[in-house]
Amino acid sequence: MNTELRDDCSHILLAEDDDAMREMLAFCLYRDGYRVTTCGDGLSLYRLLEAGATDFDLVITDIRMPALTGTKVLEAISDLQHRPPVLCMTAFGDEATRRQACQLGAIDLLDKPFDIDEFIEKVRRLCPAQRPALAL
Amino acid sequence: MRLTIKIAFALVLILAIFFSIHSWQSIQREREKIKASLSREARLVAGTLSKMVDEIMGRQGLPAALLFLERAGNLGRDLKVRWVWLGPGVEERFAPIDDDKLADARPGEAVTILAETHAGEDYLFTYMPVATPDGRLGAIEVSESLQEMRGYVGENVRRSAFTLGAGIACSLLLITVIGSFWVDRPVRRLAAEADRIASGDFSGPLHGFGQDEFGELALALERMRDQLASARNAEQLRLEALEKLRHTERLATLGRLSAGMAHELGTPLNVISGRAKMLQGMTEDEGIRRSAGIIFEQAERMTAIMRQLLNFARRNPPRKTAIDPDQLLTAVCDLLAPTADKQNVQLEHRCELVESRIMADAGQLQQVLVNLAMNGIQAMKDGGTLTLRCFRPDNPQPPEEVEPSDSWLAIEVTDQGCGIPADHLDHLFDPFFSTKDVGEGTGLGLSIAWGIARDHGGWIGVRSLVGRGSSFTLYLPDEAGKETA
Repeated sequence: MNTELRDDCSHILLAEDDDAMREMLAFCLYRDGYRVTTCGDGLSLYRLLEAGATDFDLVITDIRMPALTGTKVLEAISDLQHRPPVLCMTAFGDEATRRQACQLGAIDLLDKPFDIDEFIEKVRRLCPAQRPALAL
Repeated sequence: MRLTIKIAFALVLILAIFFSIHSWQSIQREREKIKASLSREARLVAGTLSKMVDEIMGRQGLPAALLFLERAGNLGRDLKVRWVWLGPGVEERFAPIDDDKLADARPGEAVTILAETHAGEDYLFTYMPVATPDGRLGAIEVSESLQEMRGYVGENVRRSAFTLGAGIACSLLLITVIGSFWVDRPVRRLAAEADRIASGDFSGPLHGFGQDEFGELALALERMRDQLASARNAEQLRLEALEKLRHTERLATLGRLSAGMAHELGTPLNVISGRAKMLQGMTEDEGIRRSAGIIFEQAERMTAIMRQLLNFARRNPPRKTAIDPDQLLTAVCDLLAPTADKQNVQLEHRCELVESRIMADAGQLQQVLVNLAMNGIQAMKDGGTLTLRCFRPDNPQPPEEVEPSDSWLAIEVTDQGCGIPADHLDHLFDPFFSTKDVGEGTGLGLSIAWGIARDHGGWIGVRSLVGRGSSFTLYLPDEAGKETA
């Protein structure tokens, strides 16, 4: 878990079970100026969100994960107040998975393998690295 | 040897034996008869002469009688008369032939002897013993040549032999002709039918073999044919069903396999391409940047293969819209133009459908045509012309699994490339069947194309001549035409 203080930065919660993938994405997001919290399974993701959903500006989660799948977490947090936007990832996803994720409230489904630049671009559009002025 | 000839020989042999025995017996009988009549004649002559000799001997003495006999000696060409003395110590002139029968000859009792002279001729000797006045026993010998009789018998034998020969020849001819009608012909026809059935042609019943044994054989053959035909049909149906099942199973396995692989490979591929890209951004070293670029490209290539595999494994149902075929062909040609230029291939397209629309998923149809055309371009290593043609086929022959339609539309992609060997044609649409070098193709393009054609209710037909080129035709049911009709 990355807990370096970047109070004025957007806070992203990244859930990915694959260490290499998690490390790479976290690194890229961090390099781009985000505050990043990571976890490696669905259950940790759910606990983090339950503990403080408002802490996060964006959730990026893999669908296939141990303990709880991404979709299960989406279902579980559907009644949470102030739920942050969720971006899902899956390896070679099909239409059905995409539809299911969107129905459960995900903004988009990223199809692994995706281009890292495009990924960053997408995250930037969803939430700029710097938090909006009202936070100050 | 042919059956007819064997039977003919057996029959003729029996006939010949019977006829020969019969002829032999009748000739023997005839011989006996002639001999008996000849000997009767000779006894008569000898008896008459003995009376006369007796008379002359009594009146004028022995020399006069012998003189008379000498004069009367030559009665005819084959009949000779002379005087002989019986008993031992006779000079040769007057000696009879040497035979035991003469030992106890008595006057007045004729003795008949059949003998062969040293000249090799048969003679019939008849002796009529006569007692001379001086008590010595002599005899009148009447000798008769049997030459005539032999000639007669010989003639009879010759005639019998000729009759037998002619009989044998006629019988042989007759039996051969009849045999060829009754045996050879039906046997040949039966053999031909059996060969036909053996070669796998189970059509039509066996007619015209009558009621005889061949008829029965034909009926048995007919029953065998029926059973073979039904067995083969059942076997064919079973194999087809099995093949379909296997195909479905293969596709299902492929689907599961590729989905599983995709899930496992997606993330590592993402890590590789992502790290490669990061590496490019981190360094100014040209060598490292280039290597990172190559790693990125190769990861992308693997991704492309995986996507194609998945495209095949999970295809979406077509979203049909009305497509202008001319526009479709133009779009496909535009897409292909850079590749075609590079390979020195001319692209031609013509649309023979006026004001027609094709009901199909534009993206999928384009994918099929691009795939077929790319294969065509790759088959033309030395350049050539690739022709895309849209037309209304005259009399298409849809495969069994395709639902029949009144009207069809066709898009044909024809190349002038190397052609496809006949043994490859059956596997063209099988997943992973590829003749391209490793790394150049996944062998999925045509099976995806086939799947899309089937999803649209159509199929893809192939014609190919090795060395001349190939022609792939995508047939689609004319749904737009049906609606307007």
